[in-house]
Amino acid sequence: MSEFLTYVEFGFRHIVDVAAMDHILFLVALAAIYRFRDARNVLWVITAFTVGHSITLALAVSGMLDLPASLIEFLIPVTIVATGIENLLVRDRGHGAWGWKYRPVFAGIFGLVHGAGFANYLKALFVEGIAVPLFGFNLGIELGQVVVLLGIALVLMVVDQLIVLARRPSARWEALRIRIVAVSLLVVAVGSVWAVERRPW
Amino acid sequence: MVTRAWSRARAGIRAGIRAASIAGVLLLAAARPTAAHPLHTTLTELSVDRVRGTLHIVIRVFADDFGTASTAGRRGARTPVTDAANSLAYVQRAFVLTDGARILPLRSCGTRQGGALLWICVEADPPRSPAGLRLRNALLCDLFADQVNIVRSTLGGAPRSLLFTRGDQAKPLL
Repeated sequence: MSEFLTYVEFGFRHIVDVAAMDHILFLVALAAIYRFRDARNVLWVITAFTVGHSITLALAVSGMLDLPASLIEFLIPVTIVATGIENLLVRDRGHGAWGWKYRPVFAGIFGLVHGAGFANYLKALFVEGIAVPLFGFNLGIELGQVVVLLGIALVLMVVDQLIVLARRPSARWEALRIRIVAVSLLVVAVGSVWAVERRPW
Repeated sequence: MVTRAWSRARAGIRAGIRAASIAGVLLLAAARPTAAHPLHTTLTELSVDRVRGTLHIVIRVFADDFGTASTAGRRGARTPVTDAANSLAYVQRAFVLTDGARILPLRSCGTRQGGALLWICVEADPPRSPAGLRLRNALLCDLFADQVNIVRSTLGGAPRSLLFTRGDQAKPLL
């Protein structure tokens, strides 16, 4: 296998592994508010997240940015909690000057934090010739994210169907809102536990 | 009658969703303890040392990971690898070079620590036939289910990379 493809596989395996649960949970938080017909908005959000984590990954691995690992480990669940809370607070995204537009900015900023999470390990390991491993690993991460997001979309579809079946006809909230609240509460609860466990003080 | 059955079914689904949500929170929270998502990996450079006439192997491994590697292979036991003999014994068990049916014995050529990384140097006699050379790299796979071991080899002239994960068998180096 070529060196580049080896690192693509390395990145892919890293992100689809169950051990990457913090990263996957952030993707769940991001995806919780969308339906299939919102694919364009999802694309913007994921692209922004990718750009964000690629920037910090490149900066940190090349030595231009040095962030304490304990702080990054703490900030990752904080981004999960913040995204979950935003899901809960914002109810009508179709209106207002920003509408759906600020969410990619949000995802891009949080992507900066997630990128720094990988960087410390790669920087230690690849002390020379970092370009090929970095690019391959990053591409593998992106491919893995696409697979994870497709999986999340399927699970959310099943959840939607269950909610439609279980929902009382007199229920005040529509099925999507129930899904957003349920998934976001789960994400906030788990993210909060991790944040407390990883607090650097 | 049908309405009542349907109503009961809906109540059952609601109870199921509630139970699944609580179980999900507990499972997810328990699944990730204090550490963030670590990269469990090693990087090995394999080349021919033409001056010494040996296969020269340098393994980069995170020192804390290697330190928790079990020496006795006891299930659940994590004895720190504290000395060179233990380190070499562990590498010989997990990093196996074969030339046909023959296992190439590995000798230590030093270990040094730089930051979080341990650089483990081992060497072996050259194979009778490079084409028959195979490698099984299961370093730390006994400890981490998500362990990924990358090997960069220049034995055939052009660089070649191999990737090993838990359960992988020996792979040809050329």
